[in-house]
Amino acid sequence: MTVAMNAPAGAAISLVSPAISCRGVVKSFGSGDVLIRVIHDVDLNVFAGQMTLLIGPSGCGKTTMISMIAGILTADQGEIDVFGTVVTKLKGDRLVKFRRENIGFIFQQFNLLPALTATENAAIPLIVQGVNESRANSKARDLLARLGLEKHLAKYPTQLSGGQQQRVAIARALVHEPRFIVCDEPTASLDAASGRAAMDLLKAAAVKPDRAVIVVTHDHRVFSFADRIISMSDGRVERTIDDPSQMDAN
Amino acid sequence: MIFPGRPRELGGTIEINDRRAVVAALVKSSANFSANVTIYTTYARAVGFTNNGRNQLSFVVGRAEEGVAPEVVARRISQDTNLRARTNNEFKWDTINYILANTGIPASFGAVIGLGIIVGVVVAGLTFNMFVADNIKQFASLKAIGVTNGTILQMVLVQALVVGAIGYAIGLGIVAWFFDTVPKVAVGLRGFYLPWEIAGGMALLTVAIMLVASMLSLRRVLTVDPAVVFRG
Repeated sequence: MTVAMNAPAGAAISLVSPAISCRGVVKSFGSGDVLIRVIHDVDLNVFAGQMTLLIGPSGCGKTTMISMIAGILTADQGEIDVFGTVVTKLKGDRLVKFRRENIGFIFQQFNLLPALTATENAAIPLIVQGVNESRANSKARDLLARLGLEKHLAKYPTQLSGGQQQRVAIARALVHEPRFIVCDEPTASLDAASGRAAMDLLKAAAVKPDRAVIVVTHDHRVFSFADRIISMSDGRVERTIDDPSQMDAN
Repeated sequence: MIFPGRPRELGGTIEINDRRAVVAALVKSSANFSANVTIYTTYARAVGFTNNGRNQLSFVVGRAEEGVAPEVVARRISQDTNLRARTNNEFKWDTINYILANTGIPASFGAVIGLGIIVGVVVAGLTFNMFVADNIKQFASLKAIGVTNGTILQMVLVQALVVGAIGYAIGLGIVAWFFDTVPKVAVGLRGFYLPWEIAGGMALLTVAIMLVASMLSLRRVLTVDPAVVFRG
């Protein structure tokens, strides 16, 4: 499978300079007496060409962290740099445009639009960017076919299994060739076999030299797919594992 | 009332104020608003039937000669006789204005229509609210992906207008069928019809109801935090 990228020709891919860097990120919810700080001065890096897993127990702040990295939640303090763009400085339409052009999302519940077919769902990011509908659908069909859904292009989400819906969601995340893929518990709604298949597909289709992929999960079964693991606890980075093969999954 | 216990038949005789009258024709007219019987006859016979002389007649129906404008004839009659003469259209509006000014019909009909509008807005608004609540994660996903509020606004409004158009077409079809069919068998509904002004007015009202109903729900869509997509 090949998924072309928008990165400039000859763009340098380096593990030394991160594709995404967070410095001193702080986030609180509530106000006054019920102000709860959920992210405490977090520094973390995500590198292009890798699948980075963000793990930790429920409530540790990993979802809040990726929401801020993806620009759908605002950090109270600190700086988040995504491929050279300081996301924390973007606001309003510029932030929406940044997300539209640079980020692909894969959600735990897939969040496909029930009234649209698999092809139409996968084509949404292109149509949102203003691409002609027939061209967008054509590109979505090609990608879905490469993800093994050629017989299900015209089916609606309710006619697809959980694994098939997740593949449509993966296609929707990749179709506009974003530089950064954010996955939130992509295997949580799938059985073991479907989860492994989805992660296989995700790794093969999404991980590219000039693209960063970050997966939030606490599913131990998918740790083997990681190139790098960042473990969080109580709103802080607990440890970073650069060689997950050495990690004891238990 | 005219033919008690007898079939209605042409050529039959009836008695009106002790005078014999022969039925020359039966008119399939619309139901009389005041429930009085309407008898069509010549002026001379009408004076005779009423027993009260010509001064007690409520209306005399006349027809202008060909080529003469009814308005001109009506003005001339008024000038010459000092009686009120009206054309067909003026008489219609006199009747309507009288009913509006002197009866409770505008208030009662207005209350029914107003209630219908309120029920329409509430039902459509609740339906839209349920639609939005059921799809809030999908809307949030679209916002996360980069869909602007303006595009979401267009999506919801198009949906509202399509739903409204379908509902309007079905409703208008039922009403048109009713007015076309039922008055043929229900004498009391004769004369009921569906003027284009009512159909057009209902279309505008439907659009207004759908806009108000969708606006009430849109606030929720436009203010939804895209971060909810990551919450379970």
